[in-house]
Amino acid sequence: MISSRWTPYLFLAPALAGLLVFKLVPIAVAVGGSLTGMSLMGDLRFAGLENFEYLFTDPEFWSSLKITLLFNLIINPLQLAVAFALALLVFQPMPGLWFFRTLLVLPMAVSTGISAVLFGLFLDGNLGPLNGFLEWIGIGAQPFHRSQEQALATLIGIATWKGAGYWMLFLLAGLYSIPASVHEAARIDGASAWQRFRYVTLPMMRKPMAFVLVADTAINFLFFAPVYILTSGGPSGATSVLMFQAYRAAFTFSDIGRSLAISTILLAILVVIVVLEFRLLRAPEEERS
Amino acid sequence: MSTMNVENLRKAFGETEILRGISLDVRDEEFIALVGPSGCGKSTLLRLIAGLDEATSGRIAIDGQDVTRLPPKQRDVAMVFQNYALYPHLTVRANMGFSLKLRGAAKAEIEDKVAGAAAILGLDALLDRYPGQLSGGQRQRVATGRAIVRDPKLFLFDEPLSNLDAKLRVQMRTEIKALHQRLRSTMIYVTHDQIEAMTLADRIVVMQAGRIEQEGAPLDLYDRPANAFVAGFLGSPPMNFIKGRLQDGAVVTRDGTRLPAPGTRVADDGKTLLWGARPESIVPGADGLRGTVEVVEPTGPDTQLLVRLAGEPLIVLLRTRAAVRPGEEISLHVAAGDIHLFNADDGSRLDTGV
Repeated sequence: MISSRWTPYLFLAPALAGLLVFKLVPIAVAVGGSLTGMSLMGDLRFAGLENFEYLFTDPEFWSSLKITLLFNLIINPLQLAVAFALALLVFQPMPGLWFFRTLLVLPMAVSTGISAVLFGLFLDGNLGPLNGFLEWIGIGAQPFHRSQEQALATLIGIATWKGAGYWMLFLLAGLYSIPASVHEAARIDGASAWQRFRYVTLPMMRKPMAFVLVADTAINFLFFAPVYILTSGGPSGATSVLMFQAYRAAFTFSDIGRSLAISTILLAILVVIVVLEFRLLRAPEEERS
Repeated sequence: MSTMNVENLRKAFGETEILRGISLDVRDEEFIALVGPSGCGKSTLLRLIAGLDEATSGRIAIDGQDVTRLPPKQRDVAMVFQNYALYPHLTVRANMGFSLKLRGAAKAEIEDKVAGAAAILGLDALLDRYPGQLSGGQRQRVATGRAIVRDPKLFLFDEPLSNLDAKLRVQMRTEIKALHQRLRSTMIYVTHDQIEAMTLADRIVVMQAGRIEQEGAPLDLYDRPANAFVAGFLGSPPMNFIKGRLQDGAVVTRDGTRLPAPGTRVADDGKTLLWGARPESIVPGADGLRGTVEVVEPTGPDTQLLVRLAGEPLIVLLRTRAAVRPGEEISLHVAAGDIHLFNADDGSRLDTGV
């Protein structure tokens, strides 16, 4: 018979094995790989912090880091806000609600690659229907992802179109988990609709909001496909996020060590930001217990 | 001074009528209990009074002012919910002071009133805790405290004790009664527990299927129920009913047993009636109704018997320790004044004049 002391670990073993094989080992390999370099003969050698030294003196890296941070500073709060607004919109009972909910969730079902290609056509300067429309109403055609000024914003728009409906689902579930009686108690206590939102809904949505913000941040730091398909990091590096830099280092310059160094830096930044986000949205009633 | 009047109040959700014309007058300082089985409309009535739902027709007035179409905010009522509905992200102090804060009261005033209510309910030590850190009884007290702080015209309670265990329920029941005697506020209390209603209320309103079956002082309803429903609903264990035909001053059951029917000419001979007697008013006595003891359940202070009489199960509650065994024959007696007769078809009470 197995000692009862080890029984819990036995039950945990499959999950722990998965965690080890699919998460911890790849991270260790990436961090380890970031300390290696390729010799001119093509041999793998230990390079210490060379890759990092190179990156920290490379203006392209700093510009890419700035773009990555700017992209995330805008897109994460934006997607959270849009998803929350949509959740509130389709939370109120009204006829035909299922139709609007489906419509909002639909972009989720389109693959990232296909949606990037479709937006490429949609926003095209000559054939794109959006520019046709903008000209027709007198605003005039816009360059969108083909201009240095608008490219990042265009990518943010595309990613939000695709992501907001998905994140809305989690927030909608959060709204449903607030007991109706708490809202009723607030109404009896004399709270207006705005006060109920401000003092009841918002604080009680902390947990789902924290989840959405953290998960969304993790995804957006690894934002890649639309950059690759629509802008290739351009024009003039305006959309060259770190993930794209890592891709280029590995597959254009065949410098795996540098690519893994970029990935490691991304991971470190992500961990710091996620910890900050969790702190920001921690509920006061949890701080004490 | 706070009164509440409801006139011919109706509430329907689509085709389903929940309230079918309720009229009720609640006097100042009165404690009213609304009782009835699940789905009788008692909670809906309370929600209409609170303003959480809108009446389909009829009129609600508080202190003479028509509030039927006013939002809860403008009715000056406080409500204690079954699940307490505390704000989980606020401390006990902030929960209790929330309504005053919304009203824009000064900090000192809020502190003062919260401290006052906390003192009444023994919550002083818990003011900085969060609801998640409290026991069920403490949460219930905070919910009550949140209502007291408001000093409202009306206190509404929606089954406030049904989420507590039996022992705590009895304790909190006493606390609520003491609270009413202390505050002398007008209170409306919804419960499905007839013991709560009997012990707490100045007046009980028994509801069924969206209508008021009877209203009155607890013991009046217990002693003279207006119909078989009220008779069966109030009392635990409930009143025994046996069906039979009226014949020569007795109710004759299917198997020919003659149950005494007091009074003269309550109805024509041959009419089908329900004969009713409360378990505690059936006592052993010589030359009475003969039945067979099936089950004996001693509870300490009294003994509950299940007796087969006229082919029907009859519950008898003896205030003594009875020396009877299952299978024995027993002779039972009911005083004339303790016998209730009801029409078998509509359940209405027949006045025996005794």
